[in-house]
Amino acid sequence: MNAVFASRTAQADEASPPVLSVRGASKRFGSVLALAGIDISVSRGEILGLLGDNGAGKSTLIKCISGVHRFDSGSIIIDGAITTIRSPGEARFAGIETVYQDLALFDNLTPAQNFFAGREISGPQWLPRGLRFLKQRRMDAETEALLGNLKVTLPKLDAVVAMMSGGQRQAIAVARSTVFARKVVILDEPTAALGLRESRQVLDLVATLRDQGNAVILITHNMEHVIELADRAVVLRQGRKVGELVPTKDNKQELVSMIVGA
Amino acid sequence: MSVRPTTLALLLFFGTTFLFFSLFAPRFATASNMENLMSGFSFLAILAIGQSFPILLRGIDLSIGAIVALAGMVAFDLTLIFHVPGYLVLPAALAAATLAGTLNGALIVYLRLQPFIATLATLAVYRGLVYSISGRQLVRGLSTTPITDRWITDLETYYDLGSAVGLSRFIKFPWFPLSFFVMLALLAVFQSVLITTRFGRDIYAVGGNLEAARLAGINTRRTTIAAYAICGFCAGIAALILVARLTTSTEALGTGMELTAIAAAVIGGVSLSGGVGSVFGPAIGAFLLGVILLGLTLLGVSQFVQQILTGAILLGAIGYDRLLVVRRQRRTAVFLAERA
Repeated sequence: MNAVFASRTAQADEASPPVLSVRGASKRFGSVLALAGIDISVSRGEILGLLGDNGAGKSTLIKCISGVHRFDSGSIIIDGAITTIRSPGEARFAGIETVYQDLALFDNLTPAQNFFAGREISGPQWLPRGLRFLKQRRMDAETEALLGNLKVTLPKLDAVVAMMSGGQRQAIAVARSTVFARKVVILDEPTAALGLRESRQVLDLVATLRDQGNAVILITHNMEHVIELADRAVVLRQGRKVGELVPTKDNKQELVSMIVGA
Repeated sequence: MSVRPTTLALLLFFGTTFLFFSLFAPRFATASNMENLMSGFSFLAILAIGQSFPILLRGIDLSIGAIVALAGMVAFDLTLIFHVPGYLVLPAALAAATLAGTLNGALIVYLRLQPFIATLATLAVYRGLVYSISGRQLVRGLSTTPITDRWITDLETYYDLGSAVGLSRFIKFPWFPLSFFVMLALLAVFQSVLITTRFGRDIYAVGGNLEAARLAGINTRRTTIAAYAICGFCAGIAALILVARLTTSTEALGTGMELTAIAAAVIGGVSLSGGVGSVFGPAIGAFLLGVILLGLTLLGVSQFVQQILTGAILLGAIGYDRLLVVRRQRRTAVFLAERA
């Protein structure tokens, strides 16, 4: 566990160079230009709000960063080095974790099994990957420790997540990204399906993520959340970047008009 | 995994049914009837164990009956036409069955076919292949020649465990068929693979949420192909057991077995919606079907009524599975509504 957190201690220094930047990103789906030369960057210990109406290109952008799609042109620069990301696995390897809007959770598995899906702690190493034995107790213990660390409380750790509430599920999904994120966490509308109290829990979790030194990209429609949490906001409209500013209570109206283009 | 309550209920149902027939069906609780149960349904349990893998992935394999015939015919041809020694025939037949299963998986993965459609198609392909390679048709006189290779026929061996441990002095103890131990070995291996290895966890992950599994970096294609390959391999084992018993093979071998195997798997608590279940339940499910069929026969219930009852039990199992799914969804919905 210590090893997981150790990488985060050298963190959150204000003038740090961006850990992730995207330069001149374009993407076309048939005749639709989904992204037209987008530049964004995010540093450690910073929350970047990514705003835009439906179809503005937010989801396409983050799906390209997290390896689901690929940019037609443009580059991804991680810690100063140009990086090619061809699959979700490669994105993870590069230290980018994504929590998808539609909750990529396994309903039939427990929280710990969800946490470690696809990267279970297992051994011995000389066996082929598929035949390595799971170290379930260790994964359970690490999950419990991590959830405690993030102040997420679940009624039962050995119940499958299908039995849990929307907020608990979202908390698990967000917490899962923190286990393995070494550089960037991308959250696609983490509070979309949640009630007030549950949203609060998740937003606190997002703040914790930042305080632990992650670079966070937060996609949301909720202006209050952006103003509260985001250090900077980038607004997309019709695949173009139409603005970038520090969101405050005073420029909320300006943000909204950028989003709708009025 | 939430299999335990279901497995417990299944064991309870199995015990009750067993007790019922022991009390009311004449000659049910006899050594020879137990031998019938073990030798007549071990291969079905093996098929059900194999079938669990596709169903755990939210798929299905309708072609296993045809794969049984294919593996059987490969063994038949190699032995009787080409006079290949048995120790080579066994792996060859298993390889053919595993290959057929792998092909099913590859069709589903690479052509993105629905498992139902893909394996319905290969069911026809494999069965047709069996007829076209059948040594019974190609070579005159072979259809009445029995297979005598000891490597194959020795699969049909019975062990007198009762005498070995001294129990036979007190009661008449059934002799155990080798196929029963083969079934136990496969059960032990595949159950522990499912529960304790990464491949097993991948199966549950892919069956629970294919898209999430892909995003989690799990090789969903390889997992799917492997699951259908295992299913084919189990069909191959079942075929060899049948060939050993019949000392021959026929083109129609295994016809309809896929449905019984699917029934056994579903009765054994493998959810048709994927990701829930194990291979222990399906093995029990197969013997439960066996107990019911043998018991009803001994009670003098006609074959046709038995088929109706088998169907009714399957409906009951599927209904129960649906009920669990619906209840789970409703619980989630209620939770969401309360919190909002």
